[in-house]
Amino acid sequence: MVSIAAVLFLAAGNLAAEKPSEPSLLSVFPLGGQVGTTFETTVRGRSLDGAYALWFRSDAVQARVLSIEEEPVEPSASGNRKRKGGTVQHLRVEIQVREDLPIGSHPFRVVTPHGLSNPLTLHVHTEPVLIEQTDAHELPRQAQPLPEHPLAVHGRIHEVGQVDYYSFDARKGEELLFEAFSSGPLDPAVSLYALTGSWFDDDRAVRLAYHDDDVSYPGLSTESALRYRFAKDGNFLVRVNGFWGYGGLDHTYLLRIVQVEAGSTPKTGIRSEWKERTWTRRLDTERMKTLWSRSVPDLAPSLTDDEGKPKEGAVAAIREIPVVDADAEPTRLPVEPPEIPLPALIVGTIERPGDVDRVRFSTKEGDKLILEVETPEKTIPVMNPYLRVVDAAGVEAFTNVYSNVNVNGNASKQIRPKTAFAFSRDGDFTLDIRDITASYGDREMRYRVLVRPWVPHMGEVHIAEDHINLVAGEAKKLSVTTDQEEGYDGFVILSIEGLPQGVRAVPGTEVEPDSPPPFSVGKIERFRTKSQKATFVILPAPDAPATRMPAVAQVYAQPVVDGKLGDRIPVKDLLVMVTRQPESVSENQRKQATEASR
Amino acid sequence: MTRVLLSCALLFGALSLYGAVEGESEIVSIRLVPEARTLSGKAASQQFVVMAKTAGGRELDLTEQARFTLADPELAAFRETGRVIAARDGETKVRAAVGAHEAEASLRIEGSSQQRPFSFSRDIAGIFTRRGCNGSGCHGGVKGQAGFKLSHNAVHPHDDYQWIVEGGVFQVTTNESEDPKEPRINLEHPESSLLLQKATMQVAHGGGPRFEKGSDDYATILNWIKAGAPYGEESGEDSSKIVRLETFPAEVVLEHGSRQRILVTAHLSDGTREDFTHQVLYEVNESEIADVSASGVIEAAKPGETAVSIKAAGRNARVGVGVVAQPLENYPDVPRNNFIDEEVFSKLRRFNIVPSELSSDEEFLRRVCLDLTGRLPPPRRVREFVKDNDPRKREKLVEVLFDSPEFVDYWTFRFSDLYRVAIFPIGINPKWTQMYSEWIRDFIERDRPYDEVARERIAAQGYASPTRHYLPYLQIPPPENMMGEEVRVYMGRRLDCAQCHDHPYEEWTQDQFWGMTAFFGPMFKLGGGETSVVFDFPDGKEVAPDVPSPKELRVVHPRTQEPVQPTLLDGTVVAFSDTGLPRRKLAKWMTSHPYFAEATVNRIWSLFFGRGFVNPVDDFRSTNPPTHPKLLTRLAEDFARNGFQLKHLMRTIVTSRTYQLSSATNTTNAADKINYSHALPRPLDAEILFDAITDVTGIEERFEVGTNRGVWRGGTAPLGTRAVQLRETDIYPSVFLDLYGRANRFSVPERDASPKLTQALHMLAGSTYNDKLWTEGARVFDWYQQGASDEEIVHDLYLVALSREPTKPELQNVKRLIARTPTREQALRDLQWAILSSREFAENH
Repeated sequence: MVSIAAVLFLAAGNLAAEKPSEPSLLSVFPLGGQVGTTFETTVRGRSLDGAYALWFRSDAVQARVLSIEEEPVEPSASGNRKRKGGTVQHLRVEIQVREDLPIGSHPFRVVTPHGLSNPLTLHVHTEPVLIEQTDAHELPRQAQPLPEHPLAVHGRIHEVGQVDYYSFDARKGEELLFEAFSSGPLDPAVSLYALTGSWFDDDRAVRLAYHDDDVSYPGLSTESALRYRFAKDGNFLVRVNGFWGYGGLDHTYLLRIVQVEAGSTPKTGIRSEWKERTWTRRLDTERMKTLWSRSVPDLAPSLTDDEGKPKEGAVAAIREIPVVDADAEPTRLPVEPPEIPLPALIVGTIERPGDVDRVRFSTKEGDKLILEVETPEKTIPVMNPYLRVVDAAGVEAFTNVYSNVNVNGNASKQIRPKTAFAFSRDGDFTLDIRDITASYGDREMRYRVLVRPWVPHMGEVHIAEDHINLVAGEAKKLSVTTDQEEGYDGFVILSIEGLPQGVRAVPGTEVEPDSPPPFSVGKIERFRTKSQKATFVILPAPDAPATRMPAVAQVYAQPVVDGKLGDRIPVKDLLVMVTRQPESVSENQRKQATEASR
Repeated sequence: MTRVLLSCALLFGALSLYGAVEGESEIVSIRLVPEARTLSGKAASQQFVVMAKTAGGRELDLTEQARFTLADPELAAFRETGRVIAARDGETKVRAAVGAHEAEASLRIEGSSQQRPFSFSRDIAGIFTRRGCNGSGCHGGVKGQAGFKLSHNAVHPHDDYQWIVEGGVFQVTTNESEDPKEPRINLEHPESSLLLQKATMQVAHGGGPRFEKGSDDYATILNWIKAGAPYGEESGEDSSKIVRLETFPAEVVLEHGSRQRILVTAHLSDGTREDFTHQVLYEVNESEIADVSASGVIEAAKPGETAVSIKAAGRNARVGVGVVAQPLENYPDVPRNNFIDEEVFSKLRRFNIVPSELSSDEEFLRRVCLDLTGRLPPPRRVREFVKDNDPRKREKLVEVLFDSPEFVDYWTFRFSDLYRVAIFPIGINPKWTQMYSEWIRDFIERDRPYDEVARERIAAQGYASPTRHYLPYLQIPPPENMMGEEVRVYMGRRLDCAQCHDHPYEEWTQDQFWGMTAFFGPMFKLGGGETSVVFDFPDGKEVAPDVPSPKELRVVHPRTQEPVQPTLLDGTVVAFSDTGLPRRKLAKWMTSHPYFAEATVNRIWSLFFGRGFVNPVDDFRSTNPPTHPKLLTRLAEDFARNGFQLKHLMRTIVTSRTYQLSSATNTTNAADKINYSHALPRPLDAEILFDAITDVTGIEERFEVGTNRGVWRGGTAPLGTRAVQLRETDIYPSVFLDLYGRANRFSVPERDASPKLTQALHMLAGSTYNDKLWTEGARVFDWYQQGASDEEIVHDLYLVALSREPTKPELQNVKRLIARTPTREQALRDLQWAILSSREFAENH
């Protein structure tokens, strides 16, 4: 602990010279460790002077800073020792993980006297740890032998073009899962090889399987996960490499080798925020109730009168309409589609290529309907649900395809998970549900389509920041944008609670940046909502005390319609730190260091 | 008198000894072609040909020397030599005699009093074809000639009719003719019609006289004008539509000065056949080798190969013509391994070319390793193979190579070239190229049926790997480009010329081009960025047409401005259905068409022999006929019968004796470049040569990721990555690979393997040839360090680079040169350079 204090004193002295930058983290190695153990790891980053703690969301993981060291710089050809981007530091920490910490990834940040860093992820697993050897093992014959699996290998692609080979034993019939995660910029790919050699080359490793995520898109991992069942006993190789041969000190990875039965690493995220338009959001018969909860529920049309009888003109409850009888689906036969009451949740599957599920419904002039679609299993871009509403004469009324002319002057089309439409006349309509291609269909191409009336409500609340580092006496802006869904014309009360002592959030204004001239935006009103923007000024008093650890402040939104208040809804957690000007930092840190040294 | 003497001389030659081989050319029998025929209609005619068989098994055309008679002279009459004109209904025999030999054919005549209905397309437009008026160099050119346009080879008789009767000038982008319109006929004064006056040079005609006043063709046209210039019977679905032309013979081998008459039979849409020998246009490709008369008699001039193209209104055919040198005595009996050898050696026999000997084991080993895996065999494998006494060792080696990972690498590379796996300068998404490349690798590794693979790509939709082929840029390419590429890759045809006008040399029309293009018209990219999905507008109609698109989203015929329906080359219109995908039907049609198998076979064959039966490999056309049409057909049928499996095709090729012939030539085959009588040395492609140098020197390469413009630098391919393993060649800058002609993959690639001065300069001073020779880890450097003798080093160097031991003289010479060089180090370095710079190293032979 004395050593930490010494480091802090040194750091504070340096800080007095110029305004310090906020800490930024580049990578961590090893990427984590085994649950229920204590291990060391090193965080690579910048502006880490005086770092004294790591912040985790859970208290089942504790960290202790061991040292901060400047990374030596290799002189360039010209003899220059200055590093582009500034000095890089190594923060060595000890991590203690309790047995009850959930397996998976846990975001953490480094706390310094100059504020809170960006997050990195610590991976916690049940498998024993193996650290990559320091000797090169980028050729099959140099492969690093691995002990019995399961195990978690922590490694690094040190240089561009480097690959890491590991050898391991597997048994016939054994099915293994190879999962690779990265910490920094590495995009890992995993390959399996048999060391059978070839007629040309005794050392040739023959590729058995390969995996690299094709794309990163919402809801799917950008990491690599390879499952393989071994056809015979033997010694095999697993290779980790970075996409396109990139590498460097921040290209660290965790390679988890387990029996498939052990399962993939669970996704452990932060509390989910309201998502109005994701493809995998849950649609159910309670959907309208949920939406009304984001408005003023008392204003929701009642279904029954005081005597419990159905109320005339009231919106009925959502009924689930399963479309299960594939033969009855009018793919090619002119079968009369079933009529559905509104609102309805249509549940079905695109069972085969070209499959079209079709239902009928009636509307009256002025009816406003929403089409929402969820793809609970296969989703974009593998499954692309296309919804099309046509009138009795076969004329298209609307679809869930948004057409516009994009910034390149090209026609662009996108399918959207939510579409709004107002009917201008009475009529019978048919809704076609299909995949936009004619090539795909199977039992995993499930959909849930909700056809319902509009529910004016507060939509997503957008706040870009997830943490704020404040300097006492210096204000910062916090912009909050609130979507007004389905004609919501109320307003929203925004508040922030839990700010640190001496910090206030007060209303403010900001100048809207100029927007580029619009291209042909098409029927954008069907797919995008209006929004309101508010600005907070986060104002720490000049004498606001510095925070040792970040305060978790909550942003709340409360709908107001016709003067009536809705529920207060928490919309975002913000980590807030208050630091002092460099002079006072020094004093403060001395105090802390003194306390620590006692 | 000259003709009589010539005929006598030929007859004498034919009846006595044919050529120099005594006894072999004695005539043993004759036959009439056709053996039986039915003539229908007034003045219907049939040309007969007399073919004589010699003791040596050859056939000669003796029509000119034969005496023709009819069993019942009342029924018909001979108009020219061997041409019968029907007079009355009935059945009779046509008899021919040559010396003591006789033959007869059956002739049936029916409807001899019935005049066939007039048809403009056949009776008038047919004259334009026969007289060469509608050729691409004349009025059949894109814009016609001197203000008069005819469709090429009368493929659009209605247009021809309009242009003749109404006048007008053809426009590329519209069907509307420009004023002034000048009719080519004069109904009031038929003989003053321009159509007749120009053709007979009564009025100046740039094309010269086409026929004489008073000739049959003149009379036909004049009578037509006098009759009011009717269109007559529709040519669309009527009985007179020509479905195809058949020729006898399909291929002919002649000696210098000998002749062969061609018979042309038109197969009509009603199932009947008609003799068109005297109703077609004959043109020869190489008139130095052979000539052809207007009535279809070929006369051989000098040894070589050529073809006679035959045109009737709207249809083409061809006859391959080979002119052979003097027959050989004691032509060897060449062993045959499979049907490739049967076809190749039969043709060589006909041409009196003797194939080379079987290649040596070393020669075969090096060749087959390079062709199947792109690698040189390691020295110890060379020694093993040469020592192996197993008579089936070549076949066994082929299977070993098929199963090797190097085979997968190499053919992934080959197909990545063809399938254009590339990032392109703007670098849309490298993960897409990875998906696409892995798909190629997978089909190679699993030897998936190639027709299935082709269908997957042609009809690719959604986010599947082959769809990335259709997203080389931010937008899906123009449909005409996509169609052109798919037809070129999978059918070996280039329709591009028909984009703006009917194809000038082929039967492809502008309508066919746009009909095929229409299959790709509804394709669109859904979404943006990494998750872009390829789909086709259901029903062919734009989805959500809510904004005016800056570009036309339908396929519109450039001339008519009408939307075009997807139409197969055979004219079948594929309707958009509610849930169907016309491209899927196109893919099925394309891969089941004989063009698919023959185009694939031709392309693969070219990779083993340095040339295809048709060259360029994707330019099949009647004016570019295959050198071995029957073999091409047999290989294609065998490929199809065996599940379109590439390995089967390759196995058939490399196990043939033809493939295994030596590159050493004999006196009969040294000049042969197209008949596979010996292995033709082929320069190694850039990537293969680069990898071979790496193998010989032992210094592996680290390919940097980047472009020649300097962006994206930073990554490298893993150490040990070979040039053939580079996924997207355009992001690995390499002076060497560029100099030696690697494909850029911007369009369907054609490598430029021609030698260049810059290659010589690179050889002298470039890093590839110089920096790897004498450094830590280099093969020879290490041997030198380990104290190997000169002899050991030379032996190993020859084995690793040339796949053979040095000969004794070579060894002695090299040792003497090493001894003479000031330092041993310098000598060994120079020796390596000399070997790497040699043709023996840089070629597959």
